[in-house]
Amino acid sequence: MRAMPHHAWVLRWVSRRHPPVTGPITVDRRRIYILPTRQGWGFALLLGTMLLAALNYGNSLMFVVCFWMGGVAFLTMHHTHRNLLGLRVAGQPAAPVFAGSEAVFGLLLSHTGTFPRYGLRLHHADQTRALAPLPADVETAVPVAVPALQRGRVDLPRLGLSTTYPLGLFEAWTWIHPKLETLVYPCPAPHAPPPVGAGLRSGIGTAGDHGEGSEDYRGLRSYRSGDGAHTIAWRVLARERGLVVKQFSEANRPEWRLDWAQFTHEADAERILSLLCRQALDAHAHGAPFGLSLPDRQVPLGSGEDHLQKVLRALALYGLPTRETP
Amino acid sequence: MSPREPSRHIALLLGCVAIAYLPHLTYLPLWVGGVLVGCCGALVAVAAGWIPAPGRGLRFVLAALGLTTVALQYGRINGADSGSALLTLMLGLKLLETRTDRDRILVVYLCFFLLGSGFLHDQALPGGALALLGLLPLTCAWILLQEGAGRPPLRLALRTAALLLAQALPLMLVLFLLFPRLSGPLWSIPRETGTARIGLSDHMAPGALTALGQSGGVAFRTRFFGEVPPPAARYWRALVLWDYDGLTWRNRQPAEIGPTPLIPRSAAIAYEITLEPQGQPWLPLLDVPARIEMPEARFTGREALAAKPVDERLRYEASSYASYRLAPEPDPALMARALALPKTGNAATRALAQEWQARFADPAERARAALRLFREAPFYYTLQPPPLGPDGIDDFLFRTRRGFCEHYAGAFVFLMRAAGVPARVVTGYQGGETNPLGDYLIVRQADAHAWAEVWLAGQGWVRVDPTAAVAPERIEDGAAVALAGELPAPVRLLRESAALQRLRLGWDAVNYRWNDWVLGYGPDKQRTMLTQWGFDSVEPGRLMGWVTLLTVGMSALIGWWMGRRPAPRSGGDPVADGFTRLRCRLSRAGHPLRPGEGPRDYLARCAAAEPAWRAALERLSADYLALRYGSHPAAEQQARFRRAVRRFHPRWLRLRRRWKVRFGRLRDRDSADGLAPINPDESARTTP
Repeated sequence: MRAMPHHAWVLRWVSRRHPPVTGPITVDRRRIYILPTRQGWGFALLLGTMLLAALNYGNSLMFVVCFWMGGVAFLTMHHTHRNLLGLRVAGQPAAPVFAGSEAVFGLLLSHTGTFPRYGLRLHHADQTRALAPLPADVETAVPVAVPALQRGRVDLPRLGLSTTYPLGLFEAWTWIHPKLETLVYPCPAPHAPPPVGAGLRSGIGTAGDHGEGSEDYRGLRSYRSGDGAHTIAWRVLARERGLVVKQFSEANRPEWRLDWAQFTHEADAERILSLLCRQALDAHAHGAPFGLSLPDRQVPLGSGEDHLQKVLRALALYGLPTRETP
Repeated sequence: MSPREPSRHIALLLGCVAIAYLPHLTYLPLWVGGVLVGCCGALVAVAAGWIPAPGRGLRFVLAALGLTTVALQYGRINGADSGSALLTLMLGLKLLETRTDRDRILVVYLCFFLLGSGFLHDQALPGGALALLGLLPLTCAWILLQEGAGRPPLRLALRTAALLLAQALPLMLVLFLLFPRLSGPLWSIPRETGTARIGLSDHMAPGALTALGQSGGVAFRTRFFGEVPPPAARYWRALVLWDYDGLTWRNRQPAEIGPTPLIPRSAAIAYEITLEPQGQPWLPLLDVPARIEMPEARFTGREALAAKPVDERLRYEASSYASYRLAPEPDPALMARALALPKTGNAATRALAQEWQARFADPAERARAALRLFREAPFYYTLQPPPLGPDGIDDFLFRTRRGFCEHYAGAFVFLMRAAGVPARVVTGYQGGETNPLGDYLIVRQADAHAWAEVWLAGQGWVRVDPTAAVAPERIEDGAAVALAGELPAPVRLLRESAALQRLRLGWDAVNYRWNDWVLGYGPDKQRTMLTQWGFDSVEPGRLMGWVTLLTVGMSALIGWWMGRRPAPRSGGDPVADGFTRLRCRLSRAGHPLRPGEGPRDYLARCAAAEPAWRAALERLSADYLALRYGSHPAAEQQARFRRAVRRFHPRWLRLRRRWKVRFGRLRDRDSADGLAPINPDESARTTP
């Protein structure tokens, strides 16, 4: 980004002027800013030199070249401006992620102009990415990966969309800030002690020691939405016999009660949450029903993918102020 | 080793360089072009991976070498030609290091500059206009070389470039016309050697003008503000030669310092001359000039001199008198000079002159005797006179009797001086071809002429043209007719074929206009024209104000035009497109389509809201419904619908009706159209 300013006071002003917006944004005249680029100033210098030469020699055709190219340079302002005008930007929500990875939001760009938009750039944090040309009347999805460092929520930050097309003399840009957020689950700890209630069966602390040979194995049933990826019978799928999941007998399964109290000796709340997260994942991997009790809330026993999400969500939002969810 | 360039970039860069260097091809030294070609080759070789990219050290050495060579060749580096040579070398060196997008764009910038600097050398018509066309491909390449532009197709880039140039055209015209021009250069413009100009020289010897006589070059063009003088009166005075050394007429010392006194005896003839570069300071003027509108010019005698040799096209206005008395009172020093002859030589001529002096008491009679000699003896007017011996005038008058105008003028002045009549040689041009297509005269170098002036008591200096006595057609019809048999065949063909003649004159007229309006648009012309257009002040500040106002205004207009939302297209359904267009217009007039509203209801609602639209909208609605839902819509109905949509301008209709209501001109025909009586309150209410 060459012309677009980065000073703190400008950014403060921008936050006030362009607050996050729910729903699609159409880039209108009030959203577009434009300034000459360094190349633009360079060209102005060139024209100035040429003008001096033309004045000195009283050379008419040099004046013509100088004024004509000056006119072209000046009018590219409109062309650059028009390259952003009327662009429609819609945000695409990101799936929840674990802390330490990236939340991938999306932008859907479209326009109804008569000409394709070339030379668009997307600015996000310190990175600039050139976008492929946007043909008219087609929605183009652009992924925006936002690092999710901390448990809790992560917002899609304010993004910049800029262009210097066609001649690179002016840079027009717009700030877009679709109001989108996603959950960041605690980063699961590498290992966690078995929870209370799992101790009935020894040796179960880590995922993966169950399978077709397990004594709890009950049979196969067809896939239902919400089944975890780890319960899918991949070998069956590989033999092209359809998407089925392995079922384990739940009657023999002990209940896993994930309890905050189990880890009260840990000093750091985040550490406890990350241990609980690991336990929840392990419990889900086993297919065992599990519940969660946190100091501020309880999640009753349950199982399945939806239940896991519910537990993880509770872990993600523990201790955070409530906010209107999108 | 630098990452390789995509071949597309290489091709674009090479194209730009070729276009920018083309205007310089003819005059820059061959080695400059060679270096540029070498650099282009190196660019290709580096891109192909055959050779490593030249390092910084090598480039520095090459730059220093180029600078030194240019300085040695031209003796300076800040002139027009040397500057162009340097710019070319810079461009070549820049080609050797095009690694980033910024480098490539810099190459394009340099190409623009190089193209512009070509005009310092030549801005004449075909070349100059063609070089301007080069702006289009350069702009196109500029677009294509943009970093991260996503490789727009060539056709789109070309269209964008053409659109940009077309939009910038009015801005360019405004700037060109109004941008304040300087009357003098900002820094001294060095004159560069090596450009030989053809023109009258400062001396006259037998054979001096014959070289000019064969040249087809234009000396100057002139336009008379009043009546054009007849051919025989078109003597263009350039300079007067006083001193003869037995071979050559020249001025060994400045002839006259101040203007010679002049008593006009007829009305002044006003005219304007556009002088081609000739490398000499004299400014030809119609005989005998009284005034020249040029601050730097001065008169010595009655000859106008520019402050420095004329190296570029020059325009000046002047006025002259056809009938006059020049220096009626003799100046003794000048009279002695006008009688001086070498001590010896040309004995036969001297004897003849002394015989006349003895026989005729009246100096005018002696002059007439000389003219009689030329007329009655077998003298010939020719471009190829035989060579003359040491006593040149004797040889010419009594032996060869074949010569060009300088032979006759020189011999005549010699005769007069020997006969005791003060006389001098005048050189300049005689004649001029009328260009009916441009209402001006073309005077060529081939019209160069020499004649004589004798001083007669009571009359002053009187023009005598001995050539007229030998070849009257030279004066009446011009040198081309008088010498028709001697011109080279192509020149003769050009003069004799009527169609070619017209073509030649037409092209000359175009050139004259180009020189006059485009190349000659300087501070004087600007002042005259702007004053004519009603500008009350042509001060630079005021002009810059106008320039700013007009450019910003025009740019705003273009911006508005470009920002209009283009009507969405349905893709091949003309009826739907027509309805969309109608909807857009109504929406802009303040009546957008409501969600869930059908076309029929929508149009009915609009018609009810604006009485001015009712008739048109009802017809449009009926047509649309018939076309959309009717069983057999006819093709002409579709065409009629689209035509009607095109002609339906809701805002204009509303405005017109309001206008009529306000001025009470709403006629019965309008209200009989089934419209409700107009209520002023209602029309006020519908105003958005």
